[in-house]
Amino acid sequence: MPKLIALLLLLILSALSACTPVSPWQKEAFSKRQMALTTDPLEERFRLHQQASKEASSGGYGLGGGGCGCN
Amino acid sequence: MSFGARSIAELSDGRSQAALHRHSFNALGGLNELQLWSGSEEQAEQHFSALVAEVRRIERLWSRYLGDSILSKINSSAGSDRRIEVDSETAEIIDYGALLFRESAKRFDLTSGVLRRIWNFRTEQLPTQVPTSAQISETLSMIGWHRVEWQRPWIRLPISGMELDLGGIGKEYAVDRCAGLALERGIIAGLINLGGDVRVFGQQPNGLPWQVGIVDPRDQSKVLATVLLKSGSLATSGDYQRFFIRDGVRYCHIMNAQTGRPVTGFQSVSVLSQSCLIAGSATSLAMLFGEVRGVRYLNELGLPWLAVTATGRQMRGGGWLVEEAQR
Amino acid sequence: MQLMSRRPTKRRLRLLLQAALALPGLALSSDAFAQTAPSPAVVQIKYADYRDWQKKDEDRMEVLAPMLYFSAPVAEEWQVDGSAVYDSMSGASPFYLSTLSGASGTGIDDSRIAGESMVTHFWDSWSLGLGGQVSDENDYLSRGGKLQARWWTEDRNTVVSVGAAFDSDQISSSNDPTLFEKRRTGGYLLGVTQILDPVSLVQSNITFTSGAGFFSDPYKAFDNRPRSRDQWAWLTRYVRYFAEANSAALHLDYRLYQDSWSVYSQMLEAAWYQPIGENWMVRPSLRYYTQSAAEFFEDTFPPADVDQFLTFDQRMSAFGSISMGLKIERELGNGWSVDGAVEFVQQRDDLKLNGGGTSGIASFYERYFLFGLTRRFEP
Repeated sequence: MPKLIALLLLLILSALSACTPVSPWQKEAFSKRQMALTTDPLEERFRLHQQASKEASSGGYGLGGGGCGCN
Repeated sequence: MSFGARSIAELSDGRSQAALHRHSFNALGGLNELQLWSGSEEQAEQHFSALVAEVRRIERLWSRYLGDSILSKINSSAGSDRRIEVDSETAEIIDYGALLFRESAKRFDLTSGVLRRIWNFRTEQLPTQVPTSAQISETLSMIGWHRVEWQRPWIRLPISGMELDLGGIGKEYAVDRCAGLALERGIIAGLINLGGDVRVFGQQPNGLPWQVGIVDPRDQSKVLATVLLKSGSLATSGDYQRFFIRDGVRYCHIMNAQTGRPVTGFQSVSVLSQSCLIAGSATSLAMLFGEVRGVRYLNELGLPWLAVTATGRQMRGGGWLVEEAQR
Repeated sequence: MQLMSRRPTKRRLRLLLQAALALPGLALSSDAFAQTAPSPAVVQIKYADYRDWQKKDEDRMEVLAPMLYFSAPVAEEWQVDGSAVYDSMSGASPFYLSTLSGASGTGIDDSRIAGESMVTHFWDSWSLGLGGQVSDENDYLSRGGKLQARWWTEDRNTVVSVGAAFDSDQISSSNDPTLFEKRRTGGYLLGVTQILDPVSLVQSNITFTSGAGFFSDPYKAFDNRPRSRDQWAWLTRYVRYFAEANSAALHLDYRLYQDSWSVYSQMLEAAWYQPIGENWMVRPSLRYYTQSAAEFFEDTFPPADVDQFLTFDQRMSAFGSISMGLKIERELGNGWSVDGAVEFVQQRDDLKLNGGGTSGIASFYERYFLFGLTRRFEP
C-alpha cells in the first residue's frame, strides 16, 4: 500500500510539474459538458449514496455527502 | 499601438504551398496591414482587394467629408427640423455608441467629435494650442448624446453645429467586419491590423500562434509584452497615438465628453477579446475612466487586460498568459 | 467540483456582447467568451429504479426514487444549487450472511427524503460556499452544514479547494422503540484541480472524516461497533479530451481509502463519453472496487465473544465488486435533453484484489435504471 501511494504521488507531481501553462483561448475543450468532472450531479449523488450504503468506504468526491443513514 | 505579427513567411512541405502574404495600405486616417495565408499570390491579391474594399466602404459610409455620406447628411441637418433616416448598419452602430455612452457614464459620446475644432493634434497643419475654458464651454454646449433625438431609424441633431462622429468605434468595427469577410471567403488564417487594432483568426499552417506585440507607450520601438494568440482581437488605446505637449503637460486625443478635456489616467490600455469592437470599446472606456475607475471597470468586464498607468506602472488582470518580450 | 469557468457572467461584458452580436458579419460567437461565460441555469429531474438481490431469483430490496436538481446563477456573483430526493424503499435489506437469512429479517418499507442546497459567492480569484443538508427516514435523521472555499490562479489553470462539513445524526429503530442514539461527524477536504494541457486535467482530493457516536446497525443481531470512526480517502480524477474521436472524453477515477476500523479499499473507475453525431452521447463505464474487512467483522455465527466489537454486516466484510454501466443521452434542442442509464453491480468475496476473501458470504447483485430530463437555460 505505501508503495502504491508513493507511486501515485510521484505520478501526480510529475504530471503537475510537466504541464505548461494553458492559455485562455486553448481551453475550448473544457467548455464541453463531457469534460466536466461531474457531468451529472444527480447521477453522481445517487451512485455515491448507493456505493456508500453497500460498501465500507466513502469520501473523496466532496464534503458532507448528505448524512448517509448507512449504519 | 499593437503592431503586426512576426511569423515564418513561408511553409512548404509538399502538401501545400501556403505562404503568408502581406498588404499595407492607408485608410481610416492611418497605416493598416493585412496578412493572410494563401496557396497562391493571385488568390491573396483577390482577397486583399475585397478586404480593402470593405474598409473603404465603411470609411465612405461614415465619412464626415464626403457630401453624400450618411453622416454628412445628419450633420448638415443639425439644428433644423429634418430627421434623417439611417440604414440598419448605421442604426446598429449608433445603438452601440449609445450603449457606450451609458456604460461610460457619458464620457464616451458620439457627439464629442466637435472637440476636434478646438483641440488640434495635426501639428503639421496648425500650431497646437490648449483651448481656453470659454472655448471648451462653448463647444460643450454642442455636445450631448442625451440631447440627440434618436428613434431608430430616425435621427436628428437639435442644435446647430452638433456633429455625429462614429470614428471612436468605426475602426474596430471595420476590423471585425474584415475578419468576418475573410472567414466567409475561406481564408484559413489571417491577421487584420487597422491602425493598431488587431484581430487574428485561424491556425497558422506553420503551427505557430500569432504573436502580437504591445508597444511601450513611451518608446514605440520597444515592445512591452508579446501576446500569443490563436484567434481573437487585441486592441490598444494610448495617449501617444495623437498628442502634443505644452508646458510639460501631455494632451492626448482621447477626449472626455463631459469635461471637454483629454484624459490623463493611463499611458495605454490593451484588452483581449474575440471581438475587436468589444476590445476597443473596453480600452476606450478604461482610458476615459482614468486609473482608479478604469481598473475597476476592466476587472468588472472580466476580459484580459494590460495597462500602463500615467506614472509608468504596468498593471494587468483577467487571467491571461502574456509572454514577456525577449529584448 | 466544477472548474472555475462557472463564474456568472459579468453584466457589463454581456451588455457589450449582446450589442455586438446584433451587428451582422462580425464573425462573433458567444461561445468564444466562454472564459467568463456563466454556467447556465440547469434544472433536472431524474428517476431511479434500483433493485438488489443475493440470489438471482430473489428480489431483496427495491428503491424507487424521484430526484430533483437545480443550479442557477443569481445576480452578479452568486450561484445557488440544490437537490432533493425521495427514496421509497421496500424489501428486506440483504446484508445478512446466508446462514442468517430469513432469521429476524423484517421487511423494510421505508422512505427517505433528503435535500441539500448550497449558496456560493464568487470573487475574482476565489469563491466561498455555504451549504446545508437534511436527510430524514423514519429511523434516521441527519442534518448538517458545510463551508467550501476555492481559490484559483490568475490563469485559472489551478484551483485549490478547502472545505469543512459537520453533520449531526439521530438514529432510532423501528425494531426497538427505546433506541435513541446520536452521532456527530466532522469532515474536511483539501483538493487541487490542475489543467495539465489543452486537453486534459486532473483533480486530487484528500478527505478526512472523523465521527463520534453511534455506528452500530440496530437491525443486526449482536452488532456492536466502536463509538468513533476516522476515515481517510484520497481520490484522483483524470479527464482527457479526444477531439479526433468526435469530441470524446475519458474519465478515470482512482480512490484509496483507509479508516480506523482497519478497512482498506481501492477503487478504479473508467468512463468513456462518446458523442455520436450532433445530438447523441453514449457512455459506457466500468468500476472495480476492493476492500478488506473491518477488524471486528465476524463471519462465524454464533459469535464467540459478544462483549467485544463485532459486526456480521456484509458491508464490513472483505470483498470486491465490479460494476458495468451504460448511459445514453440525447439533446432535444432548446436546452432540453433526456438521458437513460443502466448499471449492474456484482459484489463477491472472490473479486477481492488479493483473492480469497471471507468465504460464506453470498454474492450480492444490484441493478438500477436512471431516467433523466434536463433543461439548460443559456444566458
